[in-house]
Amino acid sequence: MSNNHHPDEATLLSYAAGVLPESFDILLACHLRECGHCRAGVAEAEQLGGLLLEAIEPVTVHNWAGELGLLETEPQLLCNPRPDQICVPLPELSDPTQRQQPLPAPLQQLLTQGDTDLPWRWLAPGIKQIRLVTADAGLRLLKIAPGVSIPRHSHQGSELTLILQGAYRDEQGHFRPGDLSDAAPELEHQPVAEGPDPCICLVATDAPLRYRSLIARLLQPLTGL
Amino acid sequence: MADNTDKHTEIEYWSRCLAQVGCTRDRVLYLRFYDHFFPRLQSWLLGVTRDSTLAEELAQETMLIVWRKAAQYDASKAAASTWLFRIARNLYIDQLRRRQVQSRGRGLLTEEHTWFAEHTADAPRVRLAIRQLPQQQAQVIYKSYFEGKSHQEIANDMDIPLGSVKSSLRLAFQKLCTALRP
Ligand SMILES: [Zn+2]
Repeated sequence: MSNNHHPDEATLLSYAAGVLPESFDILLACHLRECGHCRAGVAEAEQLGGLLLEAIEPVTVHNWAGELGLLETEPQLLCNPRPDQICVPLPELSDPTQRQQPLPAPLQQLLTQGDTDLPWRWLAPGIKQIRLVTADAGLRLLKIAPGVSIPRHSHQGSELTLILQGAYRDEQGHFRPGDLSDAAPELEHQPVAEGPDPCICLVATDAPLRYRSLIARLLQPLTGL
Repeated sequence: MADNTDKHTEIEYWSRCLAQVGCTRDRVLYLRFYDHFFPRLQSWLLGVTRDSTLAEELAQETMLIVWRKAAQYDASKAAASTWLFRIARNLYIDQLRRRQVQSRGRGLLTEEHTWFAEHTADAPRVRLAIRQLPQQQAQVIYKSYFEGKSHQEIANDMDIPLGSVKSSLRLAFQKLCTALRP
């Protein structure tokens, strides 16, 4: 499947560097599963990471001579593992040569079994949500009834939206399953669900949205969006 | 410090070295690889974790995995430095989130390995491209890779708008990718 909307390259770079909040990592992992274009971008950012790692000057880059000075005077001390260290069993981890993204249970269920028996909760007329548990508490599933729009808002922080089912449009264009909206902070938009079916999307945010209308702002403490 | 020409061959040298460790289980060769990369890994991990004990543990763990999984390494797909970077980053993220993951009982989404064989990087060209970045772009790259900072944290650190962080990173990434490609 080819997608029309992709994350910003800055977002791909930070995903590769491993510095995104967990909510954003989960959302990107779902997009990358289907997008070879972005997988290639991540691979380049990882290659860049490897070259930077190779080029790092262990002592002078960080100036932590106190801790790392040992490497200069006694390199053997830290640099040679004893044979018994090589054989120490590791705790049973997932395969560390592959990046594995744990998924919150409702998202996992949605991806494997579809929208059956999910614990949707009323959020606003025509909009239901499921808050997903992540370290940064910034991830939710939204289900928007056909024709319903999210109140017009802008962003204080970053917002990523991945379409999982159905479709929506906003000022940036039409979004279909697999498409990802990487909202620029200055973007003010009003997404509307399109087509005959509800639109289900995964939304990651790192700051509350700024709603334009007073009513939406008054409702904000109740909806948590 | 080796000059640029040596540096270029060095990247390939270590890739060949790792591939050979995978085939032959040559312990001496592994230790040479270890001596080269362990201090670099430790330095990088110290930057992103800001915890010297943890950085050392993760660097050790990375090198143990290298020893165990070296047979999986394919020098035609990626440089040894890329492979090492991925393992160290995966361990770092796993360590950050492991406890929460265990308590939640979730599914796992494993990255599909349809990775494209990377071009052999002309390392001096990439280094030159890094040196030629405007200061703000160099800073956002440094803060992302070496300090482990998110866009928002970088914006706070540098006191610039989030949009500038993203556009600086995007521009820098595009320039460095151009230098990566033949
Ligand atoms: Zn994409």
